[in-house]
Amino acid sequence: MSNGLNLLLSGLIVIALCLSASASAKRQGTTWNYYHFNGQEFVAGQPGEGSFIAVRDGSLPVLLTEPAKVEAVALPAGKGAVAGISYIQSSGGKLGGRPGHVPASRAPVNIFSGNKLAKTVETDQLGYFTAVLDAGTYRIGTPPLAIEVVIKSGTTTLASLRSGKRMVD
Amino acid sequence: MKKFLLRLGLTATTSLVLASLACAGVLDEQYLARFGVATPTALQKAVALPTAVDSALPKCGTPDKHGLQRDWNKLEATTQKTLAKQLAAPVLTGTDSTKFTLISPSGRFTLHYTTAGGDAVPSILWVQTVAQTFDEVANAYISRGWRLAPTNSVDGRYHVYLRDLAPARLYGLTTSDASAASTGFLHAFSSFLEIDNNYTDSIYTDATGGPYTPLESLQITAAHEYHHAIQYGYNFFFDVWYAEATSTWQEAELYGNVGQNYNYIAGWLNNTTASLDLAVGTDATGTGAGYGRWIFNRYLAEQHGTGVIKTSWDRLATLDPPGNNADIRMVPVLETLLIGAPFNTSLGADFFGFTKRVYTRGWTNPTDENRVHLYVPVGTYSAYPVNSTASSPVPSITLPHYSFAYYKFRPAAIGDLTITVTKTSGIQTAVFKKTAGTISEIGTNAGAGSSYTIVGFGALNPATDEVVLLITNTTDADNHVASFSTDGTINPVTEPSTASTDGGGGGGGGCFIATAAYGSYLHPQVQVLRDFRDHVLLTNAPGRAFVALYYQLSPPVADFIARHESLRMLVRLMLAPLIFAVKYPLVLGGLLMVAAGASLYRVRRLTAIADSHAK
Repeated sequence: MSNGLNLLLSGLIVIALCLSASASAKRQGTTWNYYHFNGQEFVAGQPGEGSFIAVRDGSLPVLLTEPAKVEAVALPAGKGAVAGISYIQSSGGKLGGRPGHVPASRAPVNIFSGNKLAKTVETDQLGYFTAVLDAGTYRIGTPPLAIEVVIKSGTTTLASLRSGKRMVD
Repeated sequence: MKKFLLRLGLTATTSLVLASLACAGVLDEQYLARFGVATPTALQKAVALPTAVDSALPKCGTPDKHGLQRDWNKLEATTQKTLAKQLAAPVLTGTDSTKFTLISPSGRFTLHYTTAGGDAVPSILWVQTVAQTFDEVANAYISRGWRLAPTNSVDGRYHVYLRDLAPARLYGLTTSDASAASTGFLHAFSSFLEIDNNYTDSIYTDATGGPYTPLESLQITAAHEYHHAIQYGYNFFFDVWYAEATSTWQEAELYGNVGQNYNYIAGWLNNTTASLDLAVGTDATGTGAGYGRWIFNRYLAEQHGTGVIKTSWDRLATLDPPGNNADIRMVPVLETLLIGAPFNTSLGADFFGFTKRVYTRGWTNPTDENRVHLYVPVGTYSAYPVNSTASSPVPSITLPHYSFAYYKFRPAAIGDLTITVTKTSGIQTAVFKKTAGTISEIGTNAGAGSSYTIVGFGALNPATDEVVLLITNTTDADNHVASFSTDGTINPVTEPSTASTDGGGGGGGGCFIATAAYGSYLHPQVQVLRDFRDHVLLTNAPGRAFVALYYQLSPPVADFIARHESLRMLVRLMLAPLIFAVKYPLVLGGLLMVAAGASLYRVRRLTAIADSHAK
């Protein structure tokens, strides 16, 4: 009887784990996920303060400056999106740490497919930009300051484009 | 009547459209003119400016960017494209009528300054001093063979902005502008520079090692920042730590009498187990990252002539970035440079030589001899024997690439001292004895590998004499190990894996299996594991070894997993408890304690039942 109970309990734990893992794995597609830029790359979660991006499969990415209810707008069928930031990397600090970034405000961002200019978008005041694109591989930025991203249909790819460098002392 | 109204409407609409178009054009022309990029006439005018204070051009001082930002959406696309980079240039306080420019006597620099608001300069005399100082710095760099900083400005001069930087606790900053590629300098960028408007604030005058006069602060800042401008002109993709090391070394070369650069060395010598190319992070002066490394440039210059530093930048200028907008690691550049003619040495040999110099001193420059910070041991022993079972700190160390550690042995009445070292292939060691202020290097014992005997150790004076062991990782590979004892005990060491160095951090890649399972590197669960790697595993030697092993083994496994949906599901299931544990360690701890308590209770209960049955 005792062995049977142990077996039953083990089974229940395994099922609970399976369900939670399955739900966790599916989270990306059904709920909004938040990412913020840490000066080098986008990382999961909302920042203590400052702007961040909400992404969800099948929806256009949304830039938020504070926690708020996000209204979903569907991505056009067969399209994907890129959401990113164009920034000036900031390094150094003789009198204290100054690493970080400065947004490249209101700057044009070129998006190339192969050697062909696919789209030009403009960053906002905080350096953010978004674009809806066909699935495929793109180069964002003007060489040599360019990065490569892969756009998948129905999803948003995050991109951090270093468009300058600042030595701070 | 209907016709009349229709025509009236059409006329009004057309007028409005025409008016708005006309206005847009005027606005565009206005801003293009204000930023000096409007017409060839404006360009010619700028080039013809005399080399003097240009008070006749108040409107061309610091452009009013606030207006440009406000009216941005009213401008045409082509105008926006032309003026976009102007938004990045600094804005001085005051109005257009208080903003001026001054062209340096050599004509190389345009200084932007204001006479109103927080950025106001103390006097025109000071601005002239700034101009002369920048000319002096540029001439010094020319005489040393450096290529001066390129510029994309309309007037062809390099632009310097005088601002109140004290509230931000900054000496100066140099920002890249736009590509200035030319033959031999394909990745060159132009830049502009900002410095403090007077350097009279106490953060400058009373800085460590001070007091410093405003002129001294200006001099070292001009030397430092303008060299960053030069560096952008060699290759935008320079490695930040070496840029700071070179600019700080230039402070010493041009204005050695100021001597502020010596303050940064302590940070390094207090943290010698960090790599030479430690990233310039939030506490660069505390760790000696970048700035403190200037003394290594001084060592290279003493060994190979001052031209070796410029040659390293010449080499960098010819290199393409590794891709995806990343910078070029400088360590391999130095390795390649030093191994070739005319240097015919290696970075490993020079780094080992430098680490010896940290103890032996004997710097050519007398100021260095007096002001370079003394060595700092990571461990000191007074009780003997020293071995892995009885001694603290444990006589063993794992070093990242190009790093070092000193251990000190205080004299004790034990007769001779023999230090036996076991080490991996990238480690080089040296032992020094200091007697009555005189330092001598002890050779290795004949035919006994790495063991050193200090004859008469017991007779040394504990108050003034000492023996030190230097352990240096002279390679670009992390996790080289050395272990030592004074009783002949030999502790086996394992060669590090050949996983490539990424400059000392996780940051970018990794977590291959989790990425394959969750389908995205950016998946929040993958981020949890990356954070665990960066903040827990990479902070200790066993963790780093595990990560290195994982990176070696996991890519083919991850590739296989990524191609099988059922496997991905299975791996997600397997990772779920791990992620939960990483994410909620306290909750997990609580659950484990509850489970342990329940088990204990159950065992006791079963024991009690068994006892009662036995009775």
